[in-house]
Amino acid sequence: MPAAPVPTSTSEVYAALKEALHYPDNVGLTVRHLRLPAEPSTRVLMLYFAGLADEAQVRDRAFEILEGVVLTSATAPGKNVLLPETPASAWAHTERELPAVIGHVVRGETALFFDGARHVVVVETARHSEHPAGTAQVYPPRDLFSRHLIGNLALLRTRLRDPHLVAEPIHRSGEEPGQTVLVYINGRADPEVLRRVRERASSFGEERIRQGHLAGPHARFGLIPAMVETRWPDKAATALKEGYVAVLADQVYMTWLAPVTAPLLLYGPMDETIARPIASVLRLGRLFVAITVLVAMPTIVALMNYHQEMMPTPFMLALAAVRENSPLPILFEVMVVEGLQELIREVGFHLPLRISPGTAVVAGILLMLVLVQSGFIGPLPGVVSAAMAFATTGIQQYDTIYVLRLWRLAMLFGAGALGFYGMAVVLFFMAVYLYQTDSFGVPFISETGIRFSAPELVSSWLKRRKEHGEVRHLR
Amino acid sequence: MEKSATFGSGTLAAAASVVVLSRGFHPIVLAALEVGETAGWLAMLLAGLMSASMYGAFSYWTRRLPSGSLDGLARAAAGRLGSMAMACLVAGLLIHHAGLVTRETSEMAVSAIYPHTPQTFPTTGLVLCTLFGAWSGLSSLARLCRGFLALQLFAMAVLLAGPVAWGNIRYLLPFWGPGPAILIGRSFLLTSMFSPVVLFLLIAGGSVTERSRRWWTGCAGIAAATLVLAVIKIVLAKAYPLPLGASVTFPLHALARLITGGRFFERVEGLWVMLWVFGTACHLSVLMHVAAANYARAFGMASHRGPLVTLVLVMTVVAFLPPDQMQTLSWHEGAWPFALAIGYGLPLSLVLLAGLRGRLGSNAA
Repeated sequence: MPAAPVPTSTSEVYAALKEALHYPDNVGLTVRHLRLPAEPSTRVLMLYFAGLADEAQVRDRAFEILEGVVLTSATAPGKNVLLPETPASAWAHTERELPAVIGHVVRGETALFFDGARHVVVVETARHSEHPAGTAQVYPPRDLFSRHLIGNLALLRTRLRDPHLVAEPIHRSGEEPGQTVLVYINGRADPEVLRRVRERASSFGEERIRQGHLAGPHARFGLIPAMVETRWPDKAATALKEGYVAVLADQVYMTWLAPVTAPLLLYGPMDETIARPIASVLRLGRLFVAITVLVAMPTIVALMNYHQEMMPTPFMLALAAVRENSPLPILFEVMVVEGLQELIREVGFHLPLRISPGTAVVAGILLMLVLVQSGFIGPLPGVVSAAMAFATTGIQQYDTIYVLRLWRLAMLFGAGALGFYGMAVVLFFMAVYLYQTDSFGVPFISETGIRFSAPELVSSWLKRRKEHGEVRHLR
Repeated sequence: MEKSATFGSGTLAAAASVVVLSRGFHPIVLAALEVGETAGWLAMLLAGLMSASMYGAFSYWTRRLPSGSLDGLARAAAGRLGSMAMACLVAGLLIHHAGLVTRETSEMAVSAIYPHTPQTFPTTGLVLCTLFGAWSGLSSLARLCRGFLALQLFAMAVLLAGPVAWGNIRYLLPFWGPGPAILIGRSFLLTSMFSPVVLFLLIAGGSVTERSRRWWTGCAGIAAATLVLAVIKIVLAKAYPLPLGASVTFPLHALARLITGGRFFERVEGLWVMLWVFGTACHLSVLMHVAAANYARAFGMASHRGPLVTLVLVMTVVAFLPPDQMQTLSWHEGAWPFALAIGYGLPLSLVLLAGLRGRLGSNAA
């Protein structure tokens, strides 16, 4: 932003705010128009971001400064109260350039524009970070979205500190505006994507959004969700930086991100807060987990049915010894194990939260032990199935797990019918489906996702640099 | 071809490379050893470079045609009827080629990996892949090829590096095989192997966003893929010298069998089966898509999906016609003159005719 002087008249201030902070279409950006009972009468614009600035501090500190101005005017009538450039307060200072003022405002400070003054008084009102609703995880961040829209916007603004971050209200007929907002970084989000997301969000009623319908299946055949849900402000902030669009709604403790692309499904909440090499490894690890969940069990079926030559001799002999008394074909064994896993998962959903994890684990272990010890199934499918059940916890998006399980079933049939040949046929179907699927006009396997050249591949799959110039956008 | 199908010239080149490289797994590439003997790799390289040059020339001559595709050239040269005749000839060649490739692939699968499986199983799998892939549209297919190319090149690099210790470099001598003049003459015959990819580039060229770059990116796609195939030929000829090399029915499968990395990493050729099937599915889908799209354009149909099902059905019939693998290969080689005539002769004739009628300029067609 070029260093521009502070505007001196109210109309100039409004024009500057429209340019710099997208006023008035920016939910949370609060502008109070005051007229001080001073002599001469002075108009003041108070500017701050609700949620970022502490309302109590605004009340106490900013108004204390204004009271001081009024008192000075009363004790020294006729004196220009705007001349002193150092307010008599430890919490305030003055700025003469607009970008500096905007920088303070996006950090949660409050700016006081006095009509006719060539400087702005900046009052320290930033809310200090709290971690009220976090989960017990090893890595930061500990913040989660709450049910308060303004608070959620503040969580994003705290992370991004970008004046071009816009929280645009979604207008619906018959509803109060400002209950649902479209959040994006102006200049990074693609206008066509914005238009489509705006249309979709407008077409849903407030109640349907609260019930989570916004993320419902949308893409071809409905396997890919229309939008990705997240409870993590850090994940949402990372996505916004890269040109994605977020929808936030009041009374909803999560946000929806669009468009849905393959890389977005790999983002984790801690990616921006831990060391870059570790974050990069974690993202690659998530990709590896997804591939493993998809192909591990079908590979076992293909190896045992068709490609025994690939197994090292000692391994094959050990396996043959284990399976010697097994009454069922391997594909049937695997289907039994998969079916049981689905059953336990489904039961887990219907039990009370306090007992469901324990019940699911105990039931899983018991059933598997009984099946293996009775010789009904071999140990290998049980071991791989249990490992895959653990592996799915590494996948960030729960919708993705459903899709992977469904595709794994198709892969199992392919592997059972024609080994690796059958798996390749199913993989081809999946790949064509994914390549022809798009989300709000952006291909699922998008330009930001998989690139052909090595540097692009690295920069897209690995964690991006934080500097703006090095971040690749969706456009 | 769907109306919105557009992609960059790099994607076109990647798709062309995949179409060429996927043929590397099929026994028909052994024809290079037959025509070039010890210089089979050189014959392959020369044939690829000749094809790339011819595509470059066609593309340059037709650069001012508004549609930028083979259909536009045919209309400019011979009107609507000429365009229809061209579409039928091209569809005929591509259906014949795709049908035989389908059969070759399933026969190889049955003979090398699944001896107890009827060949209708793998054939049906490939036909379904072709139908679904070609149905989905060229832009998604081309982008899929671009994504797959990286994996394919990596797998081929492993395939080349794995058996590097095998064989003797002297098996590649004499360098010129049957002699330079004979080698060049025979290499021209081998260009028929590349005629489907040249037709693909000529038909799909209209969908490229940067029209000015398509000629050299198409050439680069063919040339790069041919270079990889030539290197494969070198490794193959080094490991399986003539005349043994010419009788290896499943060349890259045989190379993959030579890869060994200790007690726990050997006989991994099964992994390349996935790559080979996936690549063949890309190859068939791309070619059947352009055949259907070209046909639809020539006959004024709104979408490629109309004729696609019929063309794939005919392709399936062709796939089941040969009685065995040897006959399949023989049918393929027997069609070389037709492939040369339709792949290179037809575009050349159309260019000449359009040039004579003064319709290669910017106002033509």
